Amino acid sequence: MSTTPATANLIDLAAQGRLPLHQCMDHTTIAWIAGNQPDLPPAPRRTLRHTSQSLIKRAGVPPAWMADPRLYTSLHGVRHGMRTAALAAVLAEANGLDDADTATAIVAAAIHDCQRRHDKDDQGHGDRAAVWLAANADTVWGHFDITATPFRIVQAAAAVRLHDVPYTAFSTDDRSDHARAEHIVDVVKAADALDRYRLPKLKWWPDVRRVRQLAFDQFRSLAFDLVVISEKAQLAGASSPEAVRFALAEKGLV
Amino acid sequence: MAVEIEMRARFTKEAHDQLVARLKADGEDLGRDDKHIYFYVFPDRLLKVTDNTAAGTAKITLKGSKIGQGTAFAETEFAIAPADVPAAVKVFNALGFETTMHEAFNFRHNFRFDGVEIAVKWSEAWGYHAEFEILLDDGAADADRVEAAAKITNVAAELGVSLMTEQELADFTAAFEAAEKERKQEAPLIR
Repeated sequence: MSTTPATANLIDLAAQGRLPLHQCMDHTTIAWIAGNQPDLPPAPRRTLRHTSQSLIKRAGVPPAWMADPRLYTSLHGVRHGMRTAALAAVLAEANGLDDADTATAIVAAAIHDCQRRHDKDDQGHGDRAAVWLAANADTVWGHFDITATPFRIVQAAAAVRLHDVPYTAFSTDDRSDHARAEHIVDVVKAADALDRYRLPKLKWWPDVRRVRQLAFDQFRSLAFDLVVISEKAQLAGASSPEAVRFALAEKGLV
Repeated sequence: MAVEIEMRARFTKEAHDQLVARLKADGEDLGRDDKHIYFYVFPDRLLKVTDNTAAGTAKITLKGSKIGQGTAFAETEFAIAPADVPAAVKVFNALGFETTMHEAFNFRHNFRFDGVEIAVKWSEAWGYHAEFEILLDDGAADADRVEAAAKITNVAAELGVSLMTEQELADFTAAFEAAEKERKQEAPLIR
């Protein structure tokens, strides 16, 4: 459930500095996003590997995995998780990662925000999600119909823990964790950043300076289209997972 | 009670785009018709509560057979207010039908081509697909039903669409129903 006042929209609230704790997409905001489409070259046409397609179709995690059920449909909810998982798959394959590394990135991307308490600057939510992931690894990997191994759990947890820590703020421990799972961390952070086209201020949209991902700019138009198609579909009445899977189909990713 | 002669096809995104382009060029565009549908699947019948989200209407429909059991569907339906959809679902669930229920959103665009209504759709279970339909009066003779089926087959062929056989439809719906049962189970979580 949104705490956005019924008559307000995220664009106006963001401009006024009054965004609520729980932020849900609205018709005015998605029209504003669509109307501000950047002049982007089309993303390279890419057919994902079968294993990646299978995993991103399963990236709609159950509402019970969210720390606060109100976030399931909000800006950091399941649609964001599913789009981030799909973008992680695209980036992982563009980087030549193998099936196992790609799967680890997809799993981490799908759940990276599941322990948020709200949609604002929720400090420590990456840390909490990493701990949650370690405690629920069998359930999470089982949801994707793959097997969790200690090595993969550590890598995914590192990506989840570091997703909300800027590279410039990495501590010694952060650098050590990053080194253990560098490609996966970089892919998840970049995928998360690409999905920022859903946010109601232009200055919050994807910024290549915040990521370490050479392929980042190639997939901006794909990321933008995924946001617009899936958010419009959800506002038209589709459930959140249906809305994103429709967008994935429209963009030829599944 | 009217009788629908209905045939279906599933296809890729590329085939979908080609079909829509052809229908927009040579058919009559009847507009967007997205629906949120609650299906109650019985062995020999299909009950639906449909929220026509794009049209702003709603209805309850009973079909006298289910997909994969022939092309002719005897159909009884009546309109309800969109606001009454949750209550209708609640009533049917309370009557003990909840275990037979599944729901789906259909992204749908309607066209008419050479006398056949064609709904081009996407849903989670079916992916990109189309429903070809001719509506007949209840008393339509067998010859009329055969002629309608032949008309649909010809139109589909002209549009380059392969219609699913009854066996393909029966196999597909059985697989979907089995997957739905499995999907409803999730392991407990540690907080």
